[in-house]
Amino acid sequence: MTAPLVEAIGLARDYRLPRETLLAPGAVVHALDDVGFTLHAGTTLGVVGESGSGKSTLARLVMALEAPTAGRVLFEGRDLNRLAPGALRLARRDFQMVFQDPYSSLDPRMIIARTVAEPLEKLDHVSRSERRERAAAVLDAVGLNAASDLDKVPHEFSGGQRQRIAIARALITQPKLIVADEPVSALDVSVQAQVLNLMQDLQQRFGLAYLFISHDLAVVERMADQMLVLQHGRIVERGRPDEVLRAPAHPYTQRLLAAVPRPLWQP
Amino acid sequence: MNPGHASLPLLDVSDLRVTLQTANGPAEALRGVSFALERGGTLGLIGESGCGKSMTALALMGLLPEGAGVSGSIRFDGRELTRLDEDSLCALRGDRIAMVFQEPMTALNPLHRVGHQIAEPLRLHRGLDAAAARAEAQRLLERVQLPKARERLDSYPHQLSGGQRQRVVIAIALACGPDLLIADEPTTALDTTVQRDVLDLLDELRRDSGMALLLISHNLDVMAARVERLAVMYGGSIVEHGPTQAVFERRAHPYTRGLFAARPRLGTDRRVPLATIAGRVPALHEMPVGCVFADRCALVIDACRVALPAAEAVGPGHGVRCIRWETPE
Repeated sequence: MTAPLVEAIGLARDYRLPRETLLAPGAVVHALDDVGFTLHAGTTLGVVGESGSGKSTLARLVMALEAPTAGRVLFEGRDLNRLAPGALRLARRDFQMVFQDPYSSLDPRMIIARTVAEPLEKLDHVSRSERRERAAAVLDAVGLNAASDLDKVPHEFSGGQRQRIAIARALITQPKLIVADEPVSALDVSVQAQVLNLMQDLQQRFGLAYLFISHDLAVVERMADQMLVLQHGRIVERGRPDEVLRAPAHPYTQRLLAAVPRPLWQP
Repeated sequence: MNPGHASLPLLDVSDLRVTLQTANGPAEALRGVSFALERGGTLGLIGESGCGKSMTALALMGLLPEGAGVSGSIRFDGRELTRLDEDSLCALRGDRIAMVFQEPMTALNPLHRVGHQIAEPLRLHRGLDAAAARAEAQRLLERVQLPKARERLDSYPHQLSGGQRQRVVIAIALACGPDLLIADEPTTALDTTVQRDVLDLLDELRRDSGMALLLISHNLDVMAARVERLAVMYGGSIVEHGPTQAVFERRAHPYTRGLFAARPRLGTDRRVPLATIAGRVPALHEMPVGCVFADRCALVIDACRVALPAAEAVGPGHGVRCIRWETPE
């Protein structure tokens, strides 16, 4: 088997809560505790769990937006937290992020051409005209109309279109990994289907790997090759989604599955 | 769209139309919405953003935006709500009709203690004094199964979790024992296990008190598990309406079919792409004259674009606004 694209080893992240009294330090929360996984190029790792389970902390550590308290994240074998700031900035072209809320993740005053091409400004010495060309190409890839949409601002788009713009922005550096934190949770059912199909299609075309975070078990089963179940910052179960969800071994996974609503007429 | 009933329903909405003033001129946000809800019954309004489900709730509560024009009828317990003045509406709201909103953090006042906020409708509508209102607030918090109710009375909203806050919001809504509870996406912001607990609580309270529940959600699975009757909304009108199981099984309207096919479900083949609905919802000011779904529908014919289709009966208590519903796809 080839070397993994991402390897997490014994990841932990603690946060200190604000102090409640003047004399004692605040309590420590273990947001993530001994989390390890491998993610191979072109595949999807799904992460499920409830609020507070550590899903978003995991995303920030993999994106090297913060450093782990313990453990390492290796991207193509390199420990991101040991890179010099300049080298880390250059490495960032290979991993990009898509957030849950397409209303707050786009600058309302910036035209789409600039929003989408912004990651290039920090990375490459790319000319203004080439930036626009590449923005047009990724807008086209996500099914938007490059000719008419480049000069619009976010409020002219629906929620689903905005999420396509956010995905286009993530694609523009030609990344190998996209970390998607609840990318379809804020979208309507029919729009959600379009964005999920788009993400699968882009994975095929560009060989992308996804770290796909969601609270929706059916969405994870559809998108992921492997899944992790997080509870209180620990992995309680892992495996192929169809197998995990058909026969969940851990009581927490069983509880998540049991909470999926069932029709009144099927006892 | 409703069959006639011998006894008067608690809520009877008939040909409700709401016109909003927009930057592009007047726009019809509700285009003739009709439904009825029995005492103690459950009805779900389902649809996607902009379909008019929340607008319907606001119209029932008399909370439409400034300048909105209303026609048609909303009869609640025999009284016509569309003609009531603000004072009479205030007397009804929070008393006979209560509402639970999606985001409990914005529904609660961050500056007031929880107990104070639950006591407010009791003092306003029931004239209870501070001590009696506080005692009743504690009873309500116990009723919505909030642990340590007595201590929680003095908590601020930020000290509670999302599920606990929603229980507080429900306690406020229940304070005066309403006949009708309108719950607009009450669990959308919550984890699935908390969602189930909150919906279980609503079911239990409804069975105990005999109040009716109008549940608004975009989640088909929640509807299947929680409501007896279901109305599917699209473009400001109810396109299909019937017993929940019949709507799920028959899926008479092409939009209902599209909505069902688009939803990811456990145990399906991930290599088969999800079905999508072509195109997008028309903006309010560009609503077509005929069937609003026509531009996205695979079954469309010229006659669809002439006028909004009338409701046709599909089965007992089951109607659809589509002239092509019998055509197989």
